[in-house]
Amino acid sequence: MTSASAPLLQLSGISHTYTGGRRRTTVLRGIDHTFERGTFTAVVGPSGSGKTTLLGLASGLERPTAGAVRFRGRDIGELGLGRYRSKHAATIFQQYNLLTYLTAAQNVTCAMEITGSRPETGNRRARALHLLETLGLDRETATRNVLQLSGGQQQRVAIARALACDVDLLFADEPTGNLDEATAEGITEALRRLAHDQGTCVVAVTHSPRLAAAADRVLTLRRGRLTEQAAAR
Amino acid sequence: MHAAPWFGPRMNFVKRAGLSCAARKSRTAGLLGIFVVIGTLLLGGFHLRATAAAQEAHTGRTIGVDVTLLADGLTPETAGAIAASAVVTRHTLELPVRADPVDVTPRTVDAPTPEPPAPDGEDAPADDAREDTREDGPLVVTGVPETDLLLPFSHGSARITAGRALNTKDTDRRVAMVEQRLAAENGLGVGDTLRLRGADGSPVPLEVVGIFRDPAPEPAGWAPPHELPGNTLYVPVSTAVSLGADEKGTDRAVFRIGSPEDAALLHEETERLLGAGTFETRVNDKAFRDQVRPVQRVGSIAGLVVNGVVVAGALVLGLVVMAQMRERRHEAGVLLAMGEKRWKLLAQHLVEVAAVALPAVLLATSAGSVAIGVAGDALPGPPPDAVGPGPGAGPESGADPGPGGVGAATVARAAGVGLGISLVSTVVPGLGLLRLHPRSLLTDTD
Repeated sequence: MTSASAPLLQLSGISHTYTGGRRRTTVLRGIDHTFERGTFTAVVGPSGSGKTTLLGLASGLERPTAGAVRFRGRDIGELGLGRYRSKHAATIFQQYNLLTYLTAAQNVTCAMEITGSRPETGNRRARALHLLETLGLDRETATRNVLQLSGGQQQRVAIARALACDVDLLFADEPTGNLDEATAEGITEALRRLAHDQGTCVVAVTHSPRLAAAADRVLTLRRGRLTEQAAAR
Repeated sequence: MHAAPWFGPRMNFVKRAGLSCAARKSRTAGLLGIFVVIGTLLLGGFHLRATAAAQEAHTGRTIGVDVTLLADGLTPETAGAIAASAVVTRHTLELPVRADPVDVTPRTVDAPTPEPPAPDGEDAPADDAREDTREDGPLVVTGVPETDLLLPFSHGSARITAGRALNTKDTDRRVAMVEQRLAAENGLGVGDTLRLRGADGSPVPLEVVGIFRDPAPEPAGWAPPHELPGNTLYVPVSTAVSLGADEKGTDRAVFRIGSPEDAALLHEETERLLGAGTFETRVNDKAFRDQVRPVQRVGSIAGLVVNGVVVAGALVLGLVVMAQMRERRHEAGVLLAMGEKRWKLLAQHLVEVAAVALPAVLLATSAGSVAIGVAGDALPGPPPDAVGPGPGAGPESGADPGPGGVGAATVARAAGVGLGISLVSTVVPGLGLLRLHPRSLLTDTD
């Protein structure tokens, strides 16, 4: 059973090692950290420091080689990684990872169907179109196959897909990486509002100083170890 | 309250499958083509095998293997008991008797000079005279269960020119098959009645049900009437007995069995009824070997074709589906990352394959008719009544319309095999793929 008093997400002694043939590469070493609801956290660090791996472990895409990821006090392995991903955690991928045979709107509704997310109006398609529109994609664009969209538009579809799922945790890997300044600003504000207004725990991996500056907390990952620095604001 | 969309959460994999098929037109068309080719070959193979089996059964029944049983004192009842064996399709025996005509004039050729009459007082008594006449009657009457199995008729040297042959339904009837020349001489036709003298001296009326032609010519010189081929009649066994035939007057019977392999079973049955060492059997399977073995070979080849197509089809489809699943690792990773259940992912792939396989079966049914026409021509000419259901024709023949058409059972079988192949070729690689974590699927490009 999950506990209401337990932290929303707790990384406990997380280490992770990749094995390729005889070569073993330890990416994360003894990470301990907790994430609470309603917070917006940025994770920064040089390339190859393990930021995406940390995100993957926290979002249940894979299991750590040591340590535990706990959601409301319960190991997500016990909870079921699939269930954890569908009910509690959504991810915005750096490479978008859209379903290329679907339109932008269908990508969003597909995620809602999988996670069982049902908007108050009951109309998933309307909710998908609305979300895409708030991210700057009009109806005509929303009904085009995602392969016909630009990189920036695809990134916004990926963001809309994650926002459409009513989850407790939103993980974002370079969510503003391919966006122009104005759109990036809008996305950053949307993530911040999601945390502060809707109580979602948002964790974003980024190289963007602007995004980091908007976060409540900034964590730095260096050589597999996590340190916290004071938030910019 | 809003109505749930048709593609509600429980059905999203079906909807995804449909959208995927529609979006990947060239891939779907390629898979459809492969399915059509495999389905056509399967249908052709199944149909050829079913047709060969039906024709083998029919030819076996028609040609069969004749087993001649030699035993002293063989009676029609004993032969009938042996013929009751499951392996015997027909049987016959010949119970000969010389009969006197009552209202029929036997044929004669160059009658010899009559011998001087016997001196008075040396005449035999009337009863004895009748007995002599019966024993030496001019007409050769043969009692048989049925005439088709008799060698002259089964090999075609003798043939029926009017009416029909004698068969087992005539067992207790007073009917006869009359040689054409005797019928012509007496103005007899089918439906007419002739009378012969019975064993007790009373006339035995016989209805003419058939007239046959014996190709043997009349002898050039004088011959007694009973040696003239024209003075021949066939009657049921019971009629022959009423005309004075000795029920134990035969030492041989012929049994028709379906295949040479059944001869051992017939021998066992005969041994059980007659006792070991009291009889001899001779098996004549030359006609069977000459006509049935080629059909069996076609059936065997058809079986090999079907098995070969199943194996090759499974390999080709397996490789194609496996390749498609590998190139869709990333998609699987995306869906798993969103929390999709693994079985739904597998089900989506199955639905996609089935959505292609089912129309392919319909297309293959049309294409298969052409292939079947060609394959059907490869069989040695089937008799017209070989098509369609019949005893011993095998379970498939009842559902198959025969050469030129594809039966529902054949289509269902081919569809089942095709779907089975696609099921295995989807599930086996799919299970291996879905064991992986989403991140592995999303990051591995191989």
